[in-house]
Amino acid sequence: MTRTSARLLAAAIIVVPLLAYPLMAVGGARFPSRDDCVRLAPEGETGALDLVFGRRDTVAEAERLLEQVRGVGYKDAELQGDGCGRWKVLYDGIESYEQGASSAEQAHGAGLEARLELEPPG
Amino acid sequence: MTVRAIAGLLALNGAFALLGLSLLWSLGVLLRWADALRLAGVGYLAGVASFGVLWTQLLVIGVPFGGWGIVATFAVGTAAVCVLGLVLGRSLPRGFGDGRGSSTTALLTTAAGVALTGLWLEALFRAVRLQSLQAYDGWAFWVPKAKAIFFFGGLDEQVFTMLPGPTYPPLVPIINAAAFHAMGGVDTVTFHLQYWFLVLGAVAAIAGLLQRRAHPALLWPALVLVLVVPRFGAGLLTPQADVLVDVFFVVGALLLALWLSDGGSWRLAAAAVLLAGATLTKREGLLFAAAAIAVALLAAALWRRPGRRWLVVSGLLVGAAAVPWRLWYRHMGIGGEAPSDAGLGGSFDRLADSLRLSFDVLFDTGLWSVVPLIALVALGAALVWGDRRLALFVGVLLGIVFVGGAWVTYSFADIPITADEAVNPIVRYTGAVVLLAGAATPLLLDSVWRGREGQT
Repeated sequence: MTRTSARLLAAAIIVVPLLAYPLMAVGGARFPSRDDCVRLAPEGETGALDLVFGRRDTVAEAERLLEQVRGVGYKDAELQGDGCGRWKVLYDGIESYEQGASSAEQAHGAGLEARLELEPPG
Repeated sequence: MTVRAIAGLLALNGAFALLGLSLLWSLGVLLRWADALRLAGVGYLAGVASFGVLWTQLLVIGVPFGGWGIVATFAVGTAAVCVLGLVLGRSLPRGFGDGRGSSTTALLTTAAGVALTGLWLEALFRAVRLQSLQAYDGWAFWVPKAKAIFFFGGLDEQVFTMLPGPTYPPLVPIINAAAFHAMGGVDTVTFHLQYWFLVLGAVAAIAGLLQRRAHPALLWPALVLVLVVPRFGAGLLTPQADVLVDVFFVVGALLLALWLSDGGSWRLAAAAVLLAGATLTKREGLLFAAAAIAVALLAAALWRRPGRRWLVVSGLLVGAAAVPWRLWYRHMGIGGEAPSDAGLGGSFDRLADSLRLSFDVLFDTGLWSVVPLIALVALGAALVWGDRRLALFVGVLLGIVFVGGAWVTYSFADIPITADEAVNPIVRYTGAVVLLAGAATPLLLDSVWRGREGQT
């Protein structure tokens, strides 16, 4: 075997398995995205629900949104980390899907983008 | 989110490598680009250690830790060592190959070893990128201390004096806090990848140091065996300081062993940086560094190795680096790291039980597979047929560190005689013995292969 062919073979021994393994591992755990922390409530959901008025990247931005939401009348709205690196403004006093849907509609009427979401576990 | 965090970690660890490689260049060891590739792991670890040692001193005197401070440290540190290199007349590496032709068998064996190790690292990456924070010590104090440095910019008195392990040095929390800055926030899932980078650096460092000193057929199987032992597999990515202190100590000890062999002065400087890092990573790092330097001094004196005074200077610098943190926690009213009576008040039965426990743990194949057994055979063979000086250095150092583990169990009267990690640190401690034994095995076996005429 010549020196050049030995080097090529050595390069193949290294590169082929290192590239093949990630390709063969398709279907494993994927990278999570920010959307993984948004779980919209399906119609008629009977579990615990939150009325979420939006998410912001920083606490300061989220506090401004909170102020706006409270100004509309949701005095008990609060600020929470959403577990995906953002801050969300929400109202957690929702007791049924129907009540939540009605509240979301009223919020839309006041210019807020409210959505009914499943309350995160824990 | 996660991809951005990973990119941040990549940049941070690239900066560690650049800082350390610049240091090695200024020491005159990077003559060709192949040297930079071969010693990239050593350079990376030197970068991590020097960053951690420097910031420990800065935090002790109250310098705030922040994103711009990290950037400035890398910029000023790298520029400073480059200027030092220019003053010392270093030139840029020239050419790639080192002109040392290796046989086809050695080339293909190296390729197979790199491929196997690379596959293992890829698998480890997949496992760690979504790892949750579960290890008790990790969430109880290592990570909270890192969060305190990240959020408050320093050694918050309450956090650092009231959490468990108040005497544990801050190097790992500093590295973790830097990782949080690099990721853009306290992402306690993705930050496990920082430990993946440390493992990558450790593997590269050991392989790079031994590449010219051990035949690939001895180096790579030994290295792969060490990587896949059950205990390392389970503990490598745990966000604690055990792996990093072992790595600093073992690579530092290998550098000292090679310095005893070839007298390369850069090895002393690099060993000093790594051992200083060990003293500020965990409490036992102080014992490891002292043992490595003391055994090297003894060996150098016995074999009349020139340059002993530089070894003394290195030892003094390592000791000096360890002092300010100890002064800080003493100033905060925290007790010392050693038992109050140095363990002299224990019974003989407890001493015997402690030694027996250390033996049981060391030779537990469920923890370390056959690594200690193979290392013992390699040590014996090198004493008879190989490089006796190397074997004596490694053997005495292993012996001291091993006995140190038994002393820990013996001297802290409240530690029960058990391998249960929740109450006795002997399993974590023994990792240093096993890693040193495994890393030295290729060197020892190679000296047997080459025979005594190969002795230096």
